Amino acid sequence: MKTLTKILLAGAVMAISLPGNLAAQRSGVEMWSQTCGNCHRIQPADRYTADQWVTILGQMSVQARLTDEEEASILAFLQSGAKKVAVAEPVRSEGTLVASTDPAFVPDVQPMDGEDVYAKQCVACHGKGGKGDGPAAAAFNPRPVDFTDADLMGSKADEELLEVLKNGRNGMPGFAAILSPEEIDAVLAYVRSLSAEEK
Amino acid sequence: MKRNVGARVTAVAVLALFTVFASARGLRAQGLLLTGYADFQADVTNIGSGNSDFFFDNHHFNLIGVGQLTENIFANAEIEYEHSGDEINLEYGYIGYTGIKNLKILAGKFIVPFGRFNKDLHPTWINKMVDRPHGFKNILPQTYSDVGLWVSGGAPVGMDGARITYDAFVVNGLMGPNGGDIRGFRGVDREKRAGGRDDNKAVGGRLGLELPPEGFDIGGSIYFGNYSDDPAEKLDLLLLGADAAFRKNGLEIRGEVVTAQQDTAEAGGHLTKTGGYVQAAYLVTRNFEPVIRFSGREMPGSAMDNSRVAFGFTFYPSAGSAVRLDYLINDGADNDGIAAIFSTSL
Repeated sequence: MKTLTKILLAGAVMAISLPGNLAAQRSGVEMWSQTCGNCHRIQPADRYTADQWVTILGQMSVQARLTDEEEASILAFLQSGAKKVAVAEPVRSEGTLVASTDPAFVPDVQPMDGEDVYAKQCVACHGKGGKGDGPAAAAFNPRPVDFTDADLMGSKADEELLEVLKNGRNGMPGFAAILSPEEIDAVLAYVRSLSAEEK
Repeated sequence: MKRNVGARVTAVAVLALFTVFASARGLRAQGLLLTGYADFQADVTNIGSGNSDFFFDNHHFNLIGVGQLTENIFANAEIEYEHSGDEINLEYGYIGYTGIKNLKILAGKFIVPFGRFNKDLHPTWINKMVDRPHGFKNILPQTYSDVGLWVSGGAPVGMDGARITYDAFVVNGLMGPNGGDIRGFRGVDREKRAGGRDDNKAVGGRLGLELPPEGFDIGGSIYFGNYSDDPAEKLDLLLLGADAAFRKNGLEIRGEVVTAQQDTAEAGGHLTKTGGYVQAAYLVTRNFEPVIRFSGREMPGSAMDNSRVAFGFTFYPSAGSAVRLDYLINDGADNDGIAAIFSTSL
């Protein structure tokens, strides 16, 4: 009994004292898919408004034992696709502005290449191979687009895909507040390459 | 009469809580959000016995109020309105402080964080079967909420995406008669502990490890306290639990086991009780998920042992609602059952 109690307390102390950046930080969409999905079917971002997500995440961070960084990351993702009835306040994480509804906002982060962006922001719904079969795909109706479908992708102009990437569609959140214009261009080029590989 | 008093107390408590929410708006508050879940259930029991029962139940219509009071303070309460109003209670109602890195402090009445099913998985729109795990729920009395202090948190660790999580609590504790059924120890009137025994609190917690990219989640839990309802007696109850889950590509396998060491009044006497379940579910399509569960308990004296094999499926009309149909095969003859439910989050 005493030994078990000590183990529990040691774990708690270790968790409290660990630096938040010890392990690679997962993106908001990864955390949303994996951590929220650990208990229940993940809820689409447009089920609630940006303000409502603040309230929900404040409480769910206890249920899921989220760190401040993890909570901010999920919140930024969910707010980017939230039901559009209110303007959310910017979200801050460790003093760094990571997301905003201000269209002029540019995140203070290093740009990633297209494959990195895809791995961080798109895999959860569109799947590793881009077939629209990610673990979070079940939350969407219609299902996420299959980027390997050459006919489908060939029918879509870059302007249309950029519009979806920036502003979202059919429950998919927009990424204009999360990704820089360079990263959006890079990920567009990457998803284009997925259908090219299938030809 | 007793129920009316409980309902009044609940109503006053909730009204007070909501008044606090309302008055807090403007202090960077995000205000109050009312959510919850509701269900409609149908059960057929004792199939084949010639004396089967068929009944409907509005098992839950539970409202949850969540209020973000300031950036670091929130409150959360669930009004439990069960069995068409036969049970009205405050399942939990607590205030939380989140201003310390990787540490959340909560005070009030909360669902005790022991294992996974009790705290995280019991709501009917989340639980993958109509019923709670048979037998298991008698060893770890579920849903078990109690009044006290709770600290909780998590942190990333070395491997990519890995996290450790922790919960530790001190609560008033379970209470009941010498050697009694632990499930009956929940929600006992604390005033019965008058006579100098109220300083005997129960302690415990859970330590978990999550490996999301690999789909694993494991944890160990402990609860320890004096359960005797006789102020002159000290009878310890130790619960030890382990839980594990694997989730990948639509497949979810999870299980829990809990063992109880329960002192009895006889010199050196104690009872050992064990319960557990393992279940597997597979999301075949976006809306359709078959599930199978084995559950049961071992009690002192084999006559008290029981087990159940349950299988069925869930149809998901939306991400927050579920229609489930299960067939339950119980120990013994002519006591199988069918259970169906429509459950939705609000």
